[in-house]
Order: sequence, then structure tokens, then C-alpha cells
Amino acid sequence: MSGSISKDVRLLAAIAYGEASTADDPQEIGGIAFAVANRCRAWDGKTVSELRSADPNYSYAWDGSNARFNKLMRTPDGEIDLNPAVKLAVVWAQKALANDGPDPSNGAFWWDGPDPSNGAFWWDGLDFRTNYANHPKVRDGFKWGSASDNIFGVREKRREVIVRWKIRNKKTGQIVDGGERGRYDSVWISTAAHGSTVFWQHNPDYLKASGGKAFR
Amino acid sequence: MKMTTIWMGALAILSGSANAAQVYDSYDAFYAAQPGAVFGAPIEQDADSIYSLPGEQGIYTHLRSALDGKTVRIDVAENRITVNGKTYRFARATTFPGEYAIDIDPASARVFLARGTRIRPSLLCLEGDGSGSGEADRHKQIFLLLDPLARNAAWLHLPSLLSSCRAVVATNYGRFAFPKNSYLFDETQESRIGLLVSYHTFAHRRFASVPAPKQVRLRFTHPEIPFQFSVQDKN
Repeated sequence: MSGSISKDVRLLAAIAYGEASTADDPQEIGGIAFAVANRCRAWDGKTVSELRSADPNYSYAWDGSNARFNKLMRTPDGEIDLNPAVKLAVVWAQKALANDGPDPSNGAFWWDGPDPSNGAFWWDGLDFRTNYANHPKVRDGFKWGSASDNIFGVREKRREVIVRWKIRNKKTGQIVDGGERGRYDSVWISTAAHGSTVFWQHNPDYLKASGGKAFR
Repeated sequence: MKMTTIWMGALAILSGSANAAQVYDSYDAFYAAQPGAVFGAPIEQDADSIYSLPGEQGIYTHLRSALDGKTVRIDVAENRITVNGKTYRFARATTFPGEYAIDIDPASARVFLARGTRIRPSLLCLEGDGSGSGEADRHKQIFLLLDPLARNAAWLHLPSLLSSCRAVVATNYGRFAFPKNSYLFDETQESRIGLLVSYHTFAHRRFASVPAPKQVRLRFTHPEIPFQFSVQDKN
């Protein structure tokens, strides 16, 4: 790889390389790079470093305990070409960060394009299977966008939630029950799966019922 | 030596051996088995008790319980908890070094209450998850409110890695302790093979390690997979 890579490209490549399984699946590494870059773009165009500061819980590869993340962060520019998987992660990071054009789906929820994550903002690896009973996305409720995303062979977990308004009674000043704001059956929907990684977005019904933002 | 003393000693040895051999597949189960565990089951949450206020962002849950003979009304929102009308924001908690307060999903949050004793105040613990990726599932947002019905309750943000409200234990000197966990690596420093559970407390407005219980070493059944483990040793 000729020339130096930017701080943001290196950080993104290290996340993708560190979070992916050791199989070094190009679509898995690329999907993670895109998921991070997608969230950066959606969240006021943050850099990867800014995203890390804004949401330290987003990925723990950067907390010092992930050997692959640490390895890529320490690899000198001139030695990136020597490790094909490290180089792959850097190339995907550059590609993900450069993909700042218009949404090819024109706002649709699904689309086919060069993004292996299929528009995701989050991902999960092997912990989704090994920690299924206590996994936050299982507790929140999730469903498969496609049956082929179920790479771990686990049950879909739907959770019916109804969100109701609380309003102030103008006469008494008391907060009382209002009408229904919305309902959802899962917080998460898978968008793709590659290697040992599942990619996620929020369920639009959840966003509507909670008033939440797609990238939070 | 009296027979009862011998019998109690034998029981302790048997109990210790069983503990060392036991394989856990849940941190809640492990923490619940520790001496002095403070919290039991969380307050039951009605699936229909999730609300939203016009003009305010997000959702919140409403819980109701009793503590020390008094009614406790609790609202859990994405960035705060309100107890009997008094609000505690996550970002304003006294935070254990290295931890970061983030928003949680109120619908999945769990709240635990523990009655006070003659030597220890009552406690409220909130456990929630943020919107993370990858190994973020190993980190819980844990907030502890000491003496929650008091006017000046202490509001703490505890360590997150593989922890739980159920990890909080009462010490025999009238305080509480909680674990700060860190991974144990193999000789090459590349593979995580266990967890060092080091207990700390909050006293005199600062976090500090405690003399006992001090440390527990857990060994993962399979390297890099921390969700099945056994106790390696305690001191």
C-alpha cells in the first residue's frame, strides 16, 4: 500500500479487523467497516474518532483488550501490505469512508449495493450465540430481516411493546394516561450476515413508537 | 473441638470444593452464589407500562414497589432515573474510573431494591444496556443509589464488564462492595482465558479496593468465550 493512511482510516480498519472473526472474510470485515461509517454519516457526519468519543460503548475493540485491533493500530504504514487481512481491512475502511454519495435506495429500507452490511449501523459476532440468553438485543427483541441472516441458528425473539402518551390534564395539572403513541415487536432487525457477524438496524416501528433516532 | 464446629468446618470445605468444581453459564448465577449478595429479583415490569411525554424525547417505564415500608415510584428513562420525584441523571453519577455513562433502553432496564439493615442503608440498583456492537453485550450500565429515599442519596456508576446488579455484596463491616473485572490473558497475551474479579467499595466519597472479599479468579471453559466459566481461586 503506497503512502500513509489517515488516522480515521486506521481506526476504522482496526475496528473492522478487530471485530471480525479470525476467518478474515472480506464481506464480514467490509460490512463492519461500512456499519461504522454508515452510523458516522447518519450521526451528523461524525468522524470515526468523534463517534468513539460520543458513544464509547459502541465497540469495545478499542478498549485495549482486542489483540487484532491492537495489532492493526500498531502496524506501520509501510508494513500494511505484508499482511493480506490487515490490508483488506484498510481497503474496506477507505471504501466505507469514501461512500458519502446519495443513498442508492432513495430512502428505502433495503437495497443492494456495495455495502456488505446492507445499510446497518450495528453488528454482533459469536457472543450473539454464546450469550444468547442474556444478550441485550435478545432482551430488547429482534427479528430476522431474512432467514439467511440466522447464521447462528438461534430463535427469533419478538417482544410486543405498546408505548402510550402521558399528558397533562389542563384542569388538574396531573399527568394522566393518553392515547397510544405506537407499538413495536422488536427493537432490532437484521440487515445482512457474513462470516460470523450479523448486521442490524433499528426496527422502523420502534423508532416511530419511541421517537428515537435511527443512529442512537 | 465441639462436634458442631467440626461439622460446620466440614460443610465449609464441602461447599468450597463444590464451588471450585461448578461450571457457571451465567454471571447472575455466579454473583447470586457469592456470600453477602444484596439483590435478589428485579422489580417486575408490566409490558404495558412504557410511556412517552409530548415534547420530550424517548420513552420511559414506570415501576412501583415498596422499600423500608414506604411506596417507591420509579421512572426509568434513557438517560436518567426518577425515584419518588427526584431525578438522577446517568451523566451526573460519581463514575468509577474508566467507565462512561451512556443512554440505555428503558424497556429492557432492570431495577433492584434491597432493604436497609441496622448497619447498612437501603439500596437501589439500575441495570441497563446501551446500543452497542460486538462485545458491547459484555458491558452493563450499572447505577447504584445508596439510601434512595434520603434527601442526599449517593449516586454511583459502577464498572460494566461482565457485571450485574446482583454482583453487589454486603461486607461484614457495614458497607457494600462490587466487582471491577478485567480479563486474564494467556502467556502470549493474545487470548483471553479468564476474568479477575476485584472487589471495591465507595467510602468517604471515593472508590477504593476492599480487604475482603478481595479477588476471585475465573477461568473460561473455552478461551475468548467468557460465558461459561468456573472459579479458579479466591483470596
